[in-house]
Amino acid sequence: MTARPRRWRYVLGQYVGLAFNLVPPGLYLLVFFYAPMSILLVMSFWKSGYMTLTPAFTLENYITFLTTPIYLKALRNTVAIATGTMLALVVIAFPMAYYLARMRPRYERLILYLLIIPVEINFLIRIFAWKIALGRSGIFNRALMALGLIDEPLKFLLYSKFAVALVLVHEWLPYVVIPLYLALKGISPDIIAAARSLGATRWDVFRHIILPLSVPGLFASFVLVYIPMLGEFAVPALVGGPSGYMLGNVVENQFLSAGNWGLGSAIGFVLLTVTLALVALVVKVAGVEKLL
Amino acid sequence: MTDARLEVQQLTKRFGAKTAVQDVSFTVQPNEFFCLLGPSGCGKTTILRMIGGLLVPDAGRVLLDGRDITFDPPEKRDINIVFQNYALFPHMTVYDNIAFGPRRQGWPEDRIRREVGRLLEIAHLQGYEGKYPRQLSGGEQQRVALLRALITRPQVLLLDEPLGALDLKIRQQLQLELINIQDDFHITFIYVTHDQSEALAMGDRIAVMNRGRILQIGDPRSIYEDPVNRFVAYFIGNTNLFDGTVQEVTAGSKARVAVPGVGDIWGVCRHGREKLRPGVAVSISVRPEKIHIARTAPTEGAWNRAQGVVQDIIYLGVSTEYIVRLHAGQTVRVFTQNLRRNGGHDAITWDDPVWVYWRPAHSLILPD
Amino acid sequence: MRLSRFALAFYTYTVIGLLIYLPIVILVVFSFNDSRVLSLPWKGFTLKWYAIALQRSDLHHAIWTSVWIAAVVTVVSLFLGVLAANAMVRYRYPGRLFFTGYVAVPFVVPWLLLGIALLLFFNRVGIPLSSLTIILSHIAFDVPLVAVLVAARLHQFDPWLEAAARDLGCTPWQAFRYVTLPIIAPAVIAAGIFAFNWSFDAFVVTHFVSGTQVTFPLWVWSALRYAKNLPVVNAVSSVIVVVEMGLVLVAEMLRRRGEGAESLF
Repeated sequence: MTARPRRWRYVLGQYVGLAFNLVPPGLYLLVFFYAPMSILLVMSFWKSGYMTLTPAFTLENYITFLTTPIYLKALRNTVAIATGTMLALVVIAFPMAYYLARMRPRYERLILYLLIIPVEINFLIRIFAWKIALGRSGIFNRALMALGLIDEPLKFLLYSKFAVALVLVHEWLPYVVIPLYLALKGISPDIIAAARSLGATRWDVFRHIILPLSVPGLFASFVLVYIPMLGEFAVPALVGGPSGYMLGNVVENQFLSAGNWGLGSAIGFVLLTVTLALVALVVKVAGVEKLL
Repeated sequence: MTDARLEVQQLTKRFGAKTAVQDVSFTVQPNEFFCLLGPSGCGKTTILRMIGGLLVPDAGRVLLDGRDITFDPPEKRDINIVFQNYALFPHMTVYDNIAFGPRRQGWPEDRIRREVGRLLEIAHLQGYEGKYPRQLSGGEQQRVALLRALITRPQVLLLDEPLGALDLKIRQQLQLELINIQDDFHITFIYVTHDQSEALAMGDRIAVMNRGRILQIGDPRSIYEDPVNRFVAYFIGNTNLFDGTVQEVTAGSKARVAVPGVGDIWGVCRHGREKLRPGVAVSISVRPEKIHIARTAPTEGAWNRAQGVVQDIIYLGVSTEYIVRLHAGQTVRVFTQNLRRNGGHDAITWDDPVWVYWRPAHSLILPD
Repeated sequence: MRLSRFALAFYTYTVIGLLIYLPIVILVVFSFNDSRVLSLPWKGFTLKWYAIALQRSDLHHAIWTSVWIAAVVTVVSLFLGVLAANAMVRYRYPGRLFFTGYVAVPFVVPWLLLGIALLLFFNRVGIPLSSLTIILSHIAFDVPLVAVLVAARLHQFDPWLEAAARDLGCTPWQAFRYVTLPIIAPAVIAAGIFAFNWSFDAFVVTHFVSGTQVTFPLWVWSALRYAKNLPVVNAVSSVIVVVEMGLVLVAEMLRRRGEGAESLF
């Protein structure tokens, strides 16, 4: 039986090729992603003080979080801002996506470029740009006053939940428009024509054809946008002021200022759990699993 | 068997629970045009991929000139493939596509240039060197794929439904070109197709496959005239099939079969005659061109006969096909040559009562 | 119908203009305003903020740091990401879907958490925070990016082409080198440009793992806290905006050209 060893050499050869491709990136992510995330989880249960961490199991960090009103308020703020902004994004983006999906290809590409290009500009710079525009003596306020529309500068424009939401809308709008546009583009005009010929009004068409068929696109934008928004800290830090304080700011503060890494880890994990729970909830409610 | 170019021994290949190829064996002689014929999904492409080295069998061996190449990688085999979708490299010109194999073998560039030029001329593609695959028509792409596989003169060329995607006219033209090229280059061809007329037209020998097994290997005439079973008879060409029960068996493998509604039919059995006994269920295959049609029954000679009514007439130019509904309800197809311009003064037409009759030697009894 | 179409068009361009471009335009315009205060009224045209930006050595150092870090990160991420894409698309084995998920998970974890996790990790393992930790961290989020972009391209790649190359005498490596790589090259280059951009712009993760090393986004972050720096940040930002727009356009064109070739074939 000379075939035996040759077969084994062949099989081995197949696995060597696979291993060459699979092991280096797999190992890298194991060491520099999965291991750190695990350490984060473990340390959230360690006894922690100012700049100290002791490997002794405790629930203290989580208890501290649950019993400190500021932290809980930050959690409520986070969910409220992220959810509100997400809803606003969908409402703003839907007509744009619909328009894009139904226009001539030449202009379609132009608008897509217009949407994609700013995404790649450093977002700190873009936040900064909004700061210039929104401040007490910023361009908006000066312009409105010069036009005589207001006498006093509008205070809510900067350092408020509104400012955070506005900048977030600016940052994430392309990520909502494009998946929605792709979903809507997949709907054949024939289907809509068929529905109309069967007696559906334009509202019926929207409610029973377009909306259900755009659910996958909505879900894609949701995953792309909602998760990072829940973990946001730069935007609230720069334009949020005290009322726009989010959980991300609490975590950053614990790590880089307060020096309580155990508490920071615990709050980080609360954030991750809340994120995953909210995503799971939306999957359940929207019935997305049927479409996946 | 030592003179065989390619030998396949008891090949078996499973994909998960499905057995794609089961215990397939055949040998191909040097310079032979060998066809693997079967319906789609019968395992013929899988066999090709195992010969080419793109798949490794679960059991069995592949021998090239007597040497076991079952586990050799494709680049080590002197066997090339013309792929079903051509698999031309989209980022290379026609010239670079054809020169790809020779360059791997380290031919000097001027030899490559000469040889590519010569081949393009043979294939009527002069001046196409700088074009990209996407600028070619289907037939042109097909030719380039063929030249790319031929240029290094492999021992065996495997062709996987190479004409499947082309129009009928181009297909027929390329069939002829392929046969000529095979003659000129003295290369062994193994040709996979699901088109029985293509296999009959091109193959020196044909292996008919179904469900991962080879049912019959033979030259086109024996496959057509002497099918081993009902599937082969049905798959190759057109035929009329009757199901019946053997009544009596005589010397010379003749037998009388009772077919419900038609009566007794005399026929001959060439494969599996040992299974013939009174009471055994069999199929009878009668080719449509072997059947006569007339208003009256033949008065002398040994004929099988049945009465019916003309249900449809399909005029095909060279021939006319009659579909006759027998009184028992079964339909029979009959081909007649159009020897006269108008079918004669007594031309048979729709709803005419007619007789169909044929010689016992043309009733093939197939015990399955 | 006509009217609603017009309304939709008006709405779309207005939203894009107001919500996406207005602040960027303001930024660029005011980088030429001869005033320390970034606001109306307009005080006159000047290039002095650009001149100051040219002289700030801390800024030059930050930009240079970001550039070379992004270059190293891009090269390593391309290598690992293309391997990962190969393992995701071109092989059949139990656990292939698991591996795909394994590579994609970093996408659904907020960068803030990745940043603090890496900070804890480096601290635990005893690697001092430096350019090295920044590079290691950036690779962690750039590998999934490259893998997903290249895998999308590989999905459209006809596996028979590689079979044909093998059949014509290529070793597996030669088949990849001569056939697969040239065909996926536009996607790989585009992925490289995106990866470079992500690393160059990375603020959140870098914020936690940089130690005393200052990259460009970190420089912007600290500069934004002192009002006197604002016009300079403004001028530098304007330049960066223009450069990045150019880079993105090139990346997009390459990506589309690759798609076009395949769809025509």
